[in-house]
Amino acid sequence: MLKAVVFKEWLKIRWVFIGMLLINFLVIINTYFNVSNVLKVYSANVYLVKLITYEILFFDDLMYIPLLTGILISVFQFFPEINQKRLKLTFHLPVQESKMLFQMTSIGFISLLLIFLFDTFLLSLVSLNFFPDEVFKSMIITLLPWFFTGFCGYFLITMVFIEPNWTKRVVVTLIGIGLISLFYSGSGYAKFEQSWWMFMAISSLFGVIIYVSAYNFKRGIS
Amino acid sequence: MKNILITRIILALAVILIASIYLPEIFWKITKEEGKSVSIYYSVVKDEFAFIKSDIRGAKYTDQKGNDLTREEFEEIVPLSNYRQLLASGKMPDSIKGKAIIPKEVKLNNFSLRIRPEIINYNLIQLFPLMESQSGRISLELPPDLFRITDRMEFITSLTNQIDEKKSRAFTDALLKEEFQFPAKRIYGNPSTMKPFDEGYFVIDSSNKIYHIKMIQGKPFCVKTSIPQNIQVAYILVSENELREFYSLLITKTSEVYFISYNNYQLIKLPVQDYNYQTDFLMIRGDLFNRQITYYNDNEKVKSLVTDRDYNIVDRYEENLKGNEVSYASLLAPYLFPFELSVDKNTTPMINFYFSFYDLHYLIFSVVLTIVTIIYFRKKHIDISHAVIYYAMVFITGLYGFIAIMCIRDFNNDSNI
Amino acid sequence: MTNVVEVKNLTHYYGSKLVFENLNFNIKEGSIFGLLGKNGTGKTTTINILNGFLKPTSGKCLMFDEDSYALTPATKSRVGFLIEGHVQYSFMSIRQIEKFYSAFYPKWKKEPYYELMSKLAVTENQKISKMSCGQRSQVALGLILAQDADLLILDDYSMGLDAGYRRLFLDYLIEYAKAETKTIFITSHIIQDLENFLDECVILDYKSVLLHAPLKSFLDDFKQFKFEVDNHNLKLEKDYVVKNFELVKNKATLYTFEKKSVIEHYLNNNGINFTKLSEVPMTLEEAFIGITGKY
Repeated sequence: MLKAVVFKEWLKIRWVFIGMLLINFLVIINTYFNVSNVLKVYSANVYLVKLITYEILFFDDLMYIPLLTGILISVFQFFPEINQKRLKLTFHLPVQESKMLFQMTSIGFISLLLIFLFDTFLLSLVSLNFFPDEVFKSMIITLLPWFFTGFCGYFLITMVFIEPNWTKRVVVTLIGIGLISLFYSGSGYAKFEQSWWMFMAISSLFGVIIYVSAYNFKRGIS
Repeated sequence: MKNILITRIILALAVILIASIYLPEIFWKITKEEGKSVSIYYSVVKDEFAFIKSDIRGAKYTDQKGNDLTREEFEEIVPLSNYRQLLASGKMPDSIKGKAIIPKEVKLNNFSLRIRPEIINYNLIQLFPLMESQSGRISLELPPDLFRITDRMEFITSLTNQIDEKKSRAFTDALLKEEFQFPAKRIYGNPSTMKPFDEGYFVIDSSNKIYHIKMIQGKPFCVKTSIPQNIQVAYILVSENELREFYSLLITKTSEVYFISYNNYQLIKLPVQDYNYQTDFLMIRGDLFNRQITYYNDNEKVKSLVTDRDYNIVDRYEENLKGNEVSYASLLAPYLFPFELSVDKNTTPMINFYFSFYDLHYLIFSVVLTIVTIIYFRKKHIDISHAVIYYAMVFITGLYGFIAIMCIRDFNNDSNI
Repeated sequence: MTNVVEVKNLTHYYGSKLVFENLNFNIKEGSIFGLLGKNGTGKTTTINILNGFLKPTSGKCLMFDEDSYALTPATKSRVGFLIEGHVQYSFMSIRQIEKFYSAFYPKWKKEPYYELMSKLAVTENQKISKMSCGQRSQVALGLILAQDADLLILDDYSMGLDAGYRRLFLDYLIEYAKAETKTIFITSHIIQDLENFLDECVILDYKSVLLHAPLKSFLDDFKQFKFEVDNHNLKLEKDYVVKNFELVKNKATLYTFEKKSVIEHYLNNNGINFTKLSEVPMTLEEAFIGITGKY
């Protein structure tokens, strides 16, 4: 049964998954050429000292891409479910509704995770190619909250789709926007060094709230 | 999720979290009052303090008795800080306290240092440029490499991202000769080329010894300083200054403040009291006659000490920054909000959850909101066995919990999904 | 005979708007049950409650003795559900959707599905979203037939279908219903097709139940009388005798469950002058319009 769910979800998100993978790839390729061009113009040490003292994020083009990726994956995955109330078909399948929802969101989650691992891998290549390891380590911690926005954006949009009640949609959206904005606080490298795990925990709890909306959907509250 | 109750409570917690961050933020934004600031100077002419108080209407100059001064009058009683203006307008006194005034000397002896708590908490990437300190050139230049001190001192050439083995070995050997214990705990320096000369870095090794490292004509200069190992360093502000009296300012974890002097790295203790490096802004101003140490934090007092050049206190001043007026907003807030949460604060660049609690005044409002919740549940015929959880939530988290309840609105728990 | 579905005192409000009150009916195993009524009388609401997609304001629905709001996966696998408008996963192709559903139902039989598909002029790789409404209805039907469910719930199977597809749909259902233990619950606002199909029906009006009876007894007992009157403004209120009354110029039509003699007596008692009283036979559709009214 899981295989069938994976099959169905993959049919919905395959193009957006491949598309977003490509966009992430292009953004990082762009980052690569930006850095390599800067190093052709500036002297490398001046650039690197600036990068460290002014905390210039050489990969900041990527900042909002994970959020966009999360939102789009959710739209492609859940709009077809909500359009014409197809979620009724899904919930009518002989599987516990919450289990079905968990499987579906896990598939979205894993595809996001794959894209973000891909990003991390590519950016690591860029960073390790041009800069010492210290920059790489700080970059990873800087990237984490951006990736969390991707997951939160995914959960938020999914909730907005599933939630049948308009006022609650607004409430959920406000919570989501409030939460996502927190991940963009601070500027510079690795400002979440001490707290990223707390933000990760909050992001995952945000995923759990989907079940309140699913429950509302099932009760037909609107 | 088998139990909708748990997910609802998580939803409520999310609402409480977001509300406790944004509601106070919006509240303070709306009730924000005009900013005021005061700069405290010491008049060597009158032997008393002088102030520049500024708000949105502009700056006001006064002496310590509160007499209004014109800008020109102010500059005349604080001549050393304003010597360039006074020289230009021909009002610079020839002598002060019997000492003849030579502009070059005034310039040489003037300095000011500032430390924000934020700087101390910075987590910059631990790579540093070590400049050539005797290049023979007028201006300083960045080296082609950056160094790190891990299990040895390594120089990484930026262009190639490769380690310069020869240079790394030379410095590592020099450090080992001075019994440096790798790796370095902290490295403090001033990697700017906009300074008169370069004194390199003060480095704390893993046994808490403080080393001075610089590069002279391509060769390592590594000295184990005489600073005692039991000094727990919070921060070292390296500041190259033509006066060459001190290399840097050292702040300990117990908020003591020292200069590291050019005289064999001896520590000079500054007579600050009740200074807290975690929250306070510190400013040290020096001139021909005095040292003035001013420190303050956001919501309390500003303190200023004036010492002679041997750091004996000459005069002191304290002022409550907020004055006696208390805003309605700050009176109201403790009743309205049980606590405030924010992810950033101005004393650190690090993002974290910073919790601030006023007092128990909020409980008055909490009780009212809890009663409203009970009435609401009764009216809506919400008859659930765990209602007490929600009541407790409103009671404990006040306004935030109440908002959470209003957001959930639907509490039926009659089956699972 | 056991009841597959039991609806007990079901009442539902959308906000403060009453949809229906105290709805009661049972569906026996092996029967074909119709829930009829005009649009907006609560047919889909009932279906949603029955499938656990709506929590009723009060009352209860049992499906295979389980509260419809907390159906176990085992019970859900015994129920085939056709959503209003033949909605399916339209991003899948004919072959993909069969493969998808087969994973969920242990009794899955793909033959009836592919047999039905072979009659449509489409390839197996055709995406459902690119098919006509009639073709999509066949996909939805094929899927619930393949599921080999014990109870079929069909919400407005006729929506958007022309006569040919409606006929085809019913032919398959009749074939399916031949098995003794298969139960069908169908809602529709188009009645004429169902005349020889339904065993029992409930006719819903706005807020209330107009009729709950075996179809045969409805057709036998519900009568239409026509007569002529002088008074062109004559109005008869609905009561225990009059179920509906219409007047066009001097020609009156009265719908009732009573015999001719009772009607004569009733009209005389109410002081109505009438001539040419006669009973006129009706089709199911006419009877349906008779009882629900034209408006």
